[in-house]
Amino acid sequence: MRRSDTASTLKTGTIQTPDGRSISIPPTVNGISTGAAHFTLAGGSTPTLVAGRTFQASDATSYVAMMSQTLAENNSLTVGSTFTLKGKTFTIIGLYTTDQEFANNSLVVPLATMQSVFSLSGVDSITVYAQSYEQVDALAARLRNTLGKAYDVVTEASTYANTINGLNTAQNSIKLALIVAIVTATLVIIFAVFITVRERTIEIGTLKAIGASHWQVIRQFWGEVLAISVVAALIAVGLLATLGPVISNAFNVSTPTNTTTTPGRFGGGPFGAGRALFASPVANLNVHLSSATLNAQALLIIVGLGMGLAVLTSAIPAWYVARIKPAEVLRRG
Amino acid sequence: MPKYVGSTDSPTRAPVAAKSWAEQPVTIVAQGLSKYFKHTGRLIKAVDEANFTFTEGQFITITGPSGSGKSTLLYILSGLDKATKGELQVDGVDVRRLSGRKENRLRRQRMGFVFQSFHLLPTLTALENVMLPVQLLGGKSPEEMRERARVLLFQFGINEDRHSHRPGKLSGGQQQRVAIARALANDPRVILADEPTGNLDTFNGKRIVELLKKLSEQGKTVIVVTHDRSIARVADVRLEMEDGRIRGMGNYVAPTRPPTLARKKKGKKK
Repeated sequence: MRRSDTASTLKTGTIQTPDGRSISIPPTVNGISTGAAHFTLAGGSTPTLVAGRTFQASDATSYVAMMSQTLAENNSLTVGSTFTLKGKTFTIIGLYTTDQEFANNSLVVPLATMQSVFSLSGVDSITVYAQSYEQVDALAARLRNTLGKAYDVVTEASTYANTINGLNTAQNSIKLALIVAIVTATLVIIFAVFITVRERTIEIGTLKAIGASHWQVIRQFWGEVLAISVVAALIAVGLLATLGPVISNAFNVSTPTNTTTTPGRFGGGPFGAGRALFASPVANLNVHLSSATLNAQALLIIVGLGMGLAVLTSAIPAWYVARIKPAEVLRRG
Repeated sequence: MPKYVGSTDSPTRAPVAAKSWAEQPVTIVAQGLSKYFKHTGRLIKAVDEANFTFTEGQFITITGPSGSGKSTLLYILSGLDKATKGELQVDGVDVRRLSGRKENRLRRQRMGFVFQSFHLLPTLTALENVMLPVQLLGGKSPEEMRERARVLLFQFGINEDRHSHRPGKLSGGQQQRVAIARALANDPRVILADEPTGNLDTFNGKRIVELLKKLSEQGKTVIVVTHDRSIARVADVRLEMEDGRIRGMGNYVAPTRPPTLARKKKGKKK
């Protein structure tokens, strides 16, 4: 069960909207069964206990709460402190951290206590865990069949489908842009080399006239193309080393994946400090622009691409030099 | 192949220089040398049945109107252009039967080129331009190459302070002298010059002609394609071409035109 504490006496944090505005949001109150082995907070984030303890069966109707460390710090609270929620005094028994801004503005109370305080009955949702990811769809279909149309049965996959699809589209767009950029760069280089060689027709004709062999002329251009490629690769490495981490950080996205996990995956049992507080049905998807940072793979790609382009573009002077007839060039010149 | 020292395919002019040059070692022999090509379905005879023999130390000019085939003949002599038919020997080598690689080697070792537009490599200094043919030939240390280039540049009046200048920083006359130094870098037996004074003023043109003449006196065979009568005047052998054929061959003969007519023509030109 999840509700916003709109009449909260707690000081709330502010979050940054995509358009740069700061807005204050009320804390989210989550009610969970004290016997639950797995639970996630808003956005599917898995909390990690950093102080105190998690719920016990005896806490089922008690006014106890676990609170995000951020929210607790904003209100100068710690384990053992008390606060008021809907006129009731709650004692903090544990503090947790999450990797989501929304989830960092939350607290967790026993389900029965929440139902009582918020005058609610029943639950908002029930989370069902499949033994493996492959079984998720079959299990969902079976539940739909059993429960009928009165209940919405959604899988994490469909919940996050939009996000994942969006990310996939973005990723595909980046890949396409990269391919287009490489093809464009290649064409620009080929065109530039061709123009450069063409502009030096008289030079080539002169060299041939004074006895330079075909290969002696080509070697000169290959040397130049190779030197340009090495300089370009060095610039690329330099840019990647300096700007890569900045760009990478700017574009990093963290969001839950649609990966359903088995309960045993996170160890289960009692949760100690520093361990996952609640085993999550989803693992975090971290979309990082890891390729925008300098590593052996990136270095190999840059050097490989540079050398590949050098080989490709060096064919132009070879072809052009072979075609040049010095007598014709000198007659024109 | 028979020797055609001073001979011509046009009997209207008496063969000259045969006596004075007959004893000299032959450097170039051409017999029935022709270059034909088709242009818009028509057969063009750029060079037609050229016969001549040039010897060591001769200063030869090839003159004629534009399109008469003089440059084509020069390029055939250098192996830059292939003759359609005929025989050609340069320094005892049958040029027409050479592979491209051997042709390049022949040019590197035995020929030096001087062009109307100088054609010095703009990215190289004067010294490096002169070193270039030696580098292409190989077999010399960088210091030897540098020294050879330095000596040649001095010889042609290019002072050391200009050696490190790129062609763009040199005057036309200086550039052409650098080009001549480059042509001589590998001590070739034949110097081929295509309108070497065409882009120069009178003073510098005269200086270049003197230099080329001096080279012939030192034993080089110097062949110059030119429109410049002052060059033809100092030539040992003059080939006059028209429509691809050698119309005249011999020593320079001053035009025998009435002075009044000459003056009138001059005035007209103005």
